[in-house]
Amino acid sequence: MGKFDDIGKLMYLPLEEIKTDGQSYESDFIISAAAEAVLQAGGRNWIPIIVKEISDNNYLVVSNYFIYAVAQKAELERVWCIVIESDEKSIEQAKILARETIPKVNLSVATRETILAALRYLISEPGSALKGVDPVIAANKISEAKRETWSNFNPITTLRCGITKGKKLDALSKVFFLSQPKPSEPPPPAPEIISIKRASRDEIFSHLSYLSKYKIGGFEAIDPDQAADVIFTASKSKWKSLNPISKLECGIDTAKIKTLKTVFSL
Amino acid sequence: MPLTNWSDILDKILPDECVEQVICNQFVEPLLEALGFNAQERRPQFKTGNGADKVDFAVRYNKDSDIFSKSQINPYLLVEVKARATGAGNKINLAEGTPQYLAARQQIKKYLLAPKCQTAQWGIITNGVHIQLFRRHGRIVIPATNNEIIKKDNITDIVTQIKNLIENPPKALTISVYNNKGGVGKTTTTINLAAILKKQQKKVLLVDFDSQRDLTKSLKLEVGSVSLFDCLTDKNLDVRRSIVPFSPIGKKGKPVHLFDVIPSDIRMEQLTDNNVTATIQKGSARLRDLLKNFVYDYDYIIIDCPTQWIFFSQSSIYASDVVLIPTKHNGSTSLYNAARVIKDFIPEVKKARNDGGPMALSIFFNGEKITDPQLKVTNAEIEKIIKEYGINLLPYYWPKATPGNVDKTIFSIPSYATVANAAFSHVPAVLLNSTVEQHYLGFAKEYFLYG
Repeated sequence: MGKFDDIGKLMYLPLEEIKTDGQSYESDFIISAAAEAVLQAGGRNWIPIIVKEISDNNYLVVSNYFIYAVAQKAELERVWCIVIESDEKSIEQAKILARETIPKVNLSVATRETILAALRYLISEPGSALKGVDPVIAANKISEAKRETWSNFNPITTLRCGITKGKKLDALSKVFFLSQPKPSEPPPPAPEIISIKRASRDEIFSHLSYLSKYKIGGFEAIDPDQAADVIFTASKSKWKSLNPISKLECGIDTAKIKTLKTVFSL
Repeated sequence: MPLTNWSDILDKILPDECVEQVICNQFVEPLLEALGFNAQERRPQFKTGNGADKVDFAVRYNKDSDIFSKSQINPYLLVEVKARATGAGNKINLAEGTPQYLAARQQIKKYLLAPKCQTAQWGIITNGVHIQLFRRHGRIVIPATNNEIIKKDNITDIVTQIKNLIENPPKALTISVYNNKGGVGKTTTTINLAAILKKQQKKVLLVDFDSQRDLTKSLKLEVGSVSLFDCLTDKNLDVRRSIVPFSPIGKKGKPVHLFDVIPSDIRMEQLTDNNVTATIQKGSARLRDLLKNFVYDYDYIIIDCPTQWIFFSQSSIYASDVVLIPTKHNGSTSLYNAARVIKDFIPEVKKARNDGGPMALSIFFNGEKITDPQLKVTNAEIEKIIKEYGINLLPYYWPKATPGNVDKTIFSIPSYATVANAAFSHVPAVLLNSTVEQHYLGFAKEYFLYG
């Protein structure tokens, strides 16, 4: 948000420079009538489209898709837009405020009140899969359960609160998420073992990154970048095993050498 | 401690002082000092733990080596300070009912219920013109004094009154369950609320103050060694002896004590007789005096009172901190009568009591499950009531409404066959059925219990 960019500003941008990757799903009647209303105001849309800048003179609609559709219908030459930060969080927030996305709360830590309010919302939705679930009872039981340890919503089905596996349980993900990372998928096959003496710095880095990324043998605590530098620059000609690495003070101790052997040879 | 020279202090503050900090320094600090909190027991700009919220002052008596100004944990009293005027010179009027008063009241409530203020029992709002003390009990925040206008000749009394209250905090919250319309489940609510509060380790006293004796009968109790009825007229009787324990037979075949009850006396019907009423000194205010004997012993005192606005219900509401109003979603009379309770009866009592109380709680539905079309009709009816009786009624019907948004959620306890059957077995339904238990637990948490 500075002098040299347009973030946060209300801009009057050429419609042809704006692309969209989303749609609004309104009836033709609403779109046409809204376009007419905009045209009657001399083509001025008082509620702006929310866009992010992709490159110079190149924008992408990230929210208020409806207004984009109206501008297209009205064949406006330029349209009023707000340019927002292009990170995911800002875009998510814009969509939430425009009522295009339903905000989610962290079920691992949410208060009972929040859970109750969220369940009431879900149940009141037309055609809700949770019809028949009593929000008060469900909120009581969920809030009293050991939620911090949940990695998915399945434990809810054992609480006997009317939320069963299938549609009902799935509906919860509309408003809830869990902070606990989902159990990690089995890591992809390990990279081929290479000789640590001959490996390039990048090869050492990529092998260490694999161990670190998939949290194998406690390597998630290692900074692969730094460790790769240390190992690469160390004088290795006299090494008779990988054990000297534990003395390099790069975080890899003797306990980790065994894991290291799954991706490196001497 | 030298007497605070309030005359001097009040003279020094500009009548339209627009800087909050000046009120803090010149008025609130001496006030806190006079209430017995020294500089080490105060913390300005206390973080409540709710987002970036800060309350102007938090205070607590120091315990041994735990210096509050340093540890900043477990506050006892919070103070939210306002200026006397805005920067533009407009008065900030904290008189009861003004938008500024309502906002400040909302603010102190939010602070008192914030994560780091769970130990706080009292809150003050003041701008050096008005001052009011609030008491927090669980989730409930109620006025503990009138909203007073500060004058040189009453400030000492105000300070003394506040000091007395915060030095002797009552333990109990006294609740009347009342609707001017009958058949809304007052007795059922009273009994089951008591049982669920007991399950949450609270000590509860029930008072059957209805000559119909529904509560007494449904728990199969008899009047204790002294009758509350006699205590009303005879000041020499010990009201404690009117208490009988309610101890139904538990699963192991032994009686389990749940809560205490002051049963109703069949002679209470005589009270319609003028001669008997004339013997009760202080009239409808008498019950409050009697129940004061119990406010340091129980967590909750719940009074079941009759339907009409007569001696019994007037006494009950006069004796209460809060009034719980059951309604029926399919009975528009119960909704209209709730409005009368909130708009007419409670203010009448409030005026007579002159201490800020009692306060109505938001209504709730008691009864059959609500279908969507029914709910629409009910909400339309409520909209009419609010139009007729004024917008200030909105929070009593739709408590989830916030500025700019009306969430029409109303708490409801669905009725089950077991609730009705429980009356025959003389045991609260929450003890017989886990679904009913969950509903009343939700109810207790919505209204009374913190956390």
